[in-house]
Amino acid sequence: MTRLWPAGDPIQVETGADGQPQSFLWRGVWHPVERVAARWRVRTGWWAAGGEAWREYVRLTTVDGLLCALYRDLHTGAWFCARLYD
Amino acid sequence: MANHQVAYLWVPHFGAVVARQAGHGLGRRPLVLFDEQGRVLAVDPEALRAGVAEGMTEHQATARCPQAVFQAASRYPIWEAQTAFLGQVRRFTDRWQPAGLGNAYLDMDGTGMGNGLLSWCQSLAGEVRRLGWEPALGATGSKFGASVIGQVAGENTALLLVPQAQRSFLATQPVTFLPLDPDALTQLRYLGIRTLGQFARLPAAGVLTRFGTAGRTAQHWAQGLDDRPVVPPWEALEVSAQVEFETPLTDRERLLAALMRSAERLLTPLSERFQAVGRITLTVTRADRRIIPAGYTFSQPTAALGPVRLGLEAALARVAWEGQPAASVTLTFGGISDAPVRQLTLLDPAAPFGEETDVIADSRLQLPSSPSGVQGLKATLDRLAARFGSETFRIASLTDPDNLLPERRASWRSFDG
Amino acid sequence: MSSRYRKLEAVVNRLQLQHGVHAIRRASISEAEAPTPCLSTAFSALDAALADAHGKGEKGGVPRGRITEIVGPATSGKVTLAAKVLVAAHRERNALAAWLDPSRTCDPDYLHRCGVDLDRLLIVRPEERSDALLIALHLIESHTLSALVFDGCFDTGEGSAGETTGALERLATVVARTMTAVLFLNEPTTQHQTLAHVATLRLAISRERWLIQQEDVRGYEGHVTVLKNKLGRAGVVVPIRITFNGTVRADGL
Repeated sequence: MTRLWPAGDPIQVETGADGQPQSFLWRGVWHPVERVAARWRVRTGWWAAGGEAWREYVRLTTVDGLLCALYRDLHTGAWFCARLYD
Repeated sequence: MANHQVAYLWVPHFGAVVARQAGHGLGRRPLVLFDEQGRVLAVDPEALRAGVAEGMTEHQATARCPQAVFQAASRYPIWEAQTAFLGQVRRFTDRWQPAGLGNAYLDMDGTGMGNGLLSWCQSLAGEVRRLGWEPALGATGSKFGASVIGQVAGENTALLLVPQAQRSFLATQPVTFLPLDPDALTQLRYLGIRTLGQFARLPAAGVLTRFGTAGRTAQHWAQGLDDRPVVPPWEALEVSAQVEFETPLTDRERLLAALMRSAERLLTPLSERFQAVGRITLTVTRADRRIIPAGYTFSQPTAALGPVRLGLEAALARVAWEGQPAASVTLTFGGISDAPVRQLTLLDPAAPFGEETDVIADSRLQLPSSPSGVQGLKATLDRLAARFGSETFRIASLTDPDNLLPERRASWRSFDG
Repeated sequence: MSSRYRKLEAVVNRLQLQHGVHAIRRASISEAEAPTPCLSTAFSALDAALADAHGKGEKGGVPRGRITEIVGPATSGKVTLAAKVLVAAHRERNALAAWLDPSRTCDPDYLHRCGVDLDRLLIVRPEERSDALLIALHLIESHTLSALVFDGCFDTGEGSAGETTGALERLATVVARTMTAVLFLNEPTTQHQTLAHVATLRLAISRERWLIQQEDVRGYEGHVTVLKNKLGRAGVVVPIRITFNGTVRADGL
């Protein structure tokens, strides 16, 4: 199952020159990124239930074995962890 | 019929056993549990030996066993335990039928006699035992035969009897195994009829004359001729009658009286077959043409007029009359099943305890014939929600499974939402 | 020999004399003679490893009326394994299950993709994490659940160690009287000694390699080690595979 953080769990991300996440700090632990598996963007209108959302998602694996989906809020630039596969 | 196989699984003194397991310092005195109407719902072996029987009033029970502990059954998780018991039963077969608290019939056709059947019975009873109870199981070619064999077997024993040996087995068993009313049992006693075999050999015409159609049915059973099928709760039959009024009725007493007349007509053939009803449904057509349903569910099936009358009163009280009289009422008896199997009692049949008014309990209590999702947990969740908050207990639904945002795919509601 | 037993003997003997020795058969009922019922994990190798102990050809899995602990780090598949057990529980008509979710991260979408019937799943999110065990106790005592999953109830270490120990011991006693399969999901760093003691079955799960398809991760392979098994063999290591592409599949489905 994935664990889901409906409001997103705030993280701090270090990106490379190409904008790809290279590591992220989550709950006090740095997780080096092993592989970016997929990227996609989502934009919902203001009329959508739950309001407007404009995000870029990244599904990635980490060196320490996590598979998770992060997203960047394209309005604010803040990064969040959306899902952790388990 | 020769190949038909029925099992009867039961936990002796089920209600009392559950109460004692729940603890609460009941001590070693005999135990009697009462329903909300003050009638005996369950007894333990000591109280049973003293002559206390299901359906008695508190006064009658106290007279027979003054040293007993008398408790309200609602204090104990008896209905939750019944749910667990039936949960085990339905793991083994889809063809099962409750026969009372801690009792059930199972249709075993297809399992075959021989080692497979014995193993099946042991597994079933073993699962019930794992729940902390001591079951007994009887199996043969008919419900009545299986119920007698199960009661003879005793705790932690399974007895399997080939159908062709039923009559021989039943012949030496006490006539009190039959679900006859105390008056009939008293008459048999005065006639010197002590065993099922003696009853089976009585002239059929004489039995019919003296004991009516019910007596003749009982005689068939004593002869090993009981062809009642195992009817799962979701296949239970209904019977209905419609009462129309030339002049719409506002008088509730007259309305009740009219319904009771219909009820008696519907119940008579059921009683003759030792069947009982599980619920009442009224469909009232008011004078303004609005159709209003109302219902009542019995905690144990009944065919006695007393509890049926109380059930009709309760159902009528739930109708939204809004000042309108009733133009017609359709009365439906549903959940028709066998009357609950009663444990043998040492009650002296010469001193019957009066008209049977069975248990009428809170209609929220449902046997798990068709619980819908978490409604089966509702009683427990109501209690927990009061303590921990209703928002603690949720159910999710995928209301927007294609939403691009994963957190918006599901919606949440509390369990009673 | 009690008089009841003597009477029963007399009945049996009489019927056998009249109708032959096979006319009536008697058997005692005891827990030991009945195999422990269980819920499939959906991982066929794991089910097979857990079935050996019964010796009666019963399909194996997570035992009902017992406590199972599944230990594994994040992304090991322990939560998916628990979800698959719920799917097995829901195969019975009207069976109900519960998921204790104190961290409030339960993902209904993923559970649905695993095959869980959300309409028959109660998700419990206590306001106080320390209430989780007590709530679970009440739910299990209701005798209405086929399975209950504790997802990470020891994460915060709230509540005194003594209280947790007492609650777990009581839970084990209560669970044994029911048919509820109780699963605790824990990270290796949050294990509890009493839980390890009262658990009938302890499984350690870990991921070994990703399954890559068109450069995207479409699942992973790993293994499950049976750390403890009161009902059979321990020390067995079995491979598992989890794939997801719309629905979530375990090997053996």
